[in-house]
Amino acid sequence: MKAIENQIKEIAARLLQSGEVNIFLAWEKGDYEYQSKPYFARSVDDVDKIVFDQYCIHNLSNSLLKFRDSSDKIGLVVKGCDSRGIVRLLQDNQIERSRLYIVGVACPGMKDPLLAMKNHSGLFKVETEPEVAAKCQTCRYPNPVIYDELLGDQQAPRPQEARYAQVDAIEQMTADERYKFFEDTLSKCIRCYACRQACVACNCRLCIFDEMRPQWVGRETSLSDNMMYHLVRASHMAGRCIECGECERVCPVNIPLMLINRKLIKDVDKFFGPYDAGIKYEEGVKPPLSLYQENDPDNFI
Amino acid sequence: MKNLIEYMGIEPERFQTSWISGSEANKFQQTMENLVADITKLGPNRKLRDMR
Amino acid sequence: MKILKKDQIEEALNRMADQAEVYVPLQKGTQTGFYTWQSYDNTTDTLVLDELNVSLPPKQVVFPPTDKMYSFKQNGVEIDIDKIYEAIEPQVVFGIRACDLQGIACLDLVFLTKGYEDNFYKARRENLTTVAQACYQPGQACFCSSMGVDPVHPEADVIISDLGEEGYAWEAQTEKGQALTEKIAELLEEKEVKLPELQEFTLKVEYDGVAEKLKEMFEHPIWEQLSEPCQTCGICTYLCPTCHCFDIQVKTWGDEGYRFRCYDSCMYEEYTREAGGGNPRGKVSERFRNRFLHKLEFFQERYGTPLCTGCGRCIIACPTGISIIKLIEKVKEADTGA
Repeated sequence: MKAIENQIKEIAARLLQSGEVNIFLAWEKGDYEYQSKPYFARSVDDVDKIVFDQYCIHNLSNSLLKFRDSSDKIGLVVKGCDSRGIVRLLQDNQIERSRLYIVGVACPGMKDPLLAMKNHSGLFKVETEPEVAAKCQTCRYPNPVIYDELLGDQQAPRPQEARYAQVDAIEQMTADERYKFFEDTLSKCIRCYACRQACVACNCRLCIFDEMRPQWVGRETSLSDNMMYHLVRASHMAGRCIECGECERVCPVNIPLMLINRKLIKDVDKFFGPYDAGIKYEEGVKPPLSLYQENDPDNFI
Repeated sequence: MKNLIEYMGIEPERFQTSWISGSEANKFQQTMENLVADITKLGPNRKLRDMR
Repeated sequence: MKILKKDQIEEALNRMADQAEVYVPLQKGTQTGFYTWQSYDNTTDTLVLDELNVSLPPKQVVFPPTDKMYSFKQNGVEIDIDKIYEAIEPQVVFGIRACDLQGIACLDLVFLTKGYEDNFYKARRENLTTVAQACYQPGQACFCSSMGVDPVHPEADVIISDLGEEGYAWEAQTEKGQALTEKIAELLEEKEVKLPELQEFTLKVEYDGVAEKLKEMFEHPIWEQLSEPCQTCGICTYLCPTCHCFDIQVKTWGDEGYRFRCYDSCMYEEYTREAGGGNPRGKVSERFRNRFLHKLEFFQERYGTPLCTGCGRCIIACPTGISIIKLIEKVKEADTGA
């Protein structure tokens, strides 16, 4: 990884020096050895602080949304999942390809600094840190799908059996058991909206949950409002979720959000598929639920 | 959508969709009556209730 | 010195729960917070009095995430107020730490002083008895002493100190504390014990003078730079023991409904959005600046104490690694050109 880090630094310095980009997004070290966090380098002097290690899990394509209205040219480092985020933004017309210089890195799997922070905080009973973070364990696309330069050796996707394992388990339960399961998990939700903020696909300028006239979902942390929030958000993600797992990772109360998102991914794959969101950027191609076609499944009508 | 609601444990029959044009008044009436009959059969909804 | 043996804790909590809602630090699944002793399920939950602190702050005991205010019904063209929801049942919060207790003290300043008393807050606060646990071993992200908080002598109704095998030292400090002590009097033993020593803090910051300096820095370019990684996710505001921004919303159905108070966050885009559509804090850097000025400058100026109590939760949970300590250090280094 150190070799890749040096390559990234070289590329960043070159791009900033020549003026090909005016901002380079990468990661830097935080205050603890297990903390790597997003870093916005703006000059060649800033490049020194860039790191690339096993804690660089944060999805930088989400930070591109901060620049959608500016005219900055942006260079950024992306792993497999992050690059799908860029395709998502391009497909949603949120940023122009010509403004980006994408440095892709084939990702061997990352560890989660938030989990490490929690373990050291004294606020939780310590959890064993898995070899790779939970979101990486069923990774299908460790190699970036869009890039201007590619670093690192090609990585193999991880075994896929576990991907829908939990979703299938839930589908086997009775309706009441399922309701009880979701009641238990979603009543913990404190409606902090961190999942929405961390999500690349959540890029509406005026989010439905911020709309007051009319207010679609109330702000109470009651079970019904919480369930509505998650159901609506998941539905807006249908066919667009890139399965990066950031929502579940940042949740301060550990709600297993990917269980809901994966159910929709499975269904979209089954009914409109085979389909994986954000794999390839083609002009004019839209996610399956954004385009009406005559042969769309309609057995539910 | 229907699958998602079912996944959450709510009876899927409570959510129904239908293509009805503005001029198909009869079809609208039929569909509504069927829907009301179906839901009445399912009984009052205890799930996703407000905290009142 | 009164001692409560550890095997008597459950009995003590049961007795207190007889006449009050008792909140204790519990680990439920993977989440830790203050939950009612009544909700404790010994097959799935753990009482975590021996852990440093919990993730979700106990401010919800006096300031809940959803707080019904009053309900109303339409009566012709008039509206009748049906019921006003002022909580009157007594509450006990057991095992709260000095940082979180100071958080409640800050909330007291907001809701009970400067000419207006919030009835809903007041009812909960007056009926609350606090049993604080003294801290002797600061955590990795703890810096309460730098923010003027005494971890060993919190201003609670009762202070308990973990003596290890001996049990907890129990010291009532107020009348309310005395009353609570009476309830469990038979469970307490009398013994001479030595209290532990306070260990060193690994995380310190020099807060002196920061408020004064920040006063001159409203237009400083440092805010653009510091706020850059911020995703305005709001996690910091939800885990903070002093954050208290709220919204008042209404739920109606037919001709009746109720008004309620719910948490809001200064990090959200619509936080300062006005009825006409204008938004003085539309930019992330503006909301970010507002949050930290509130914590470190406005509150100090208005009430004489910072709104940050040094609990460290925001440092632990921020997905992009923003740290209030680093911010204070950068502010101190900053050149104000003065």
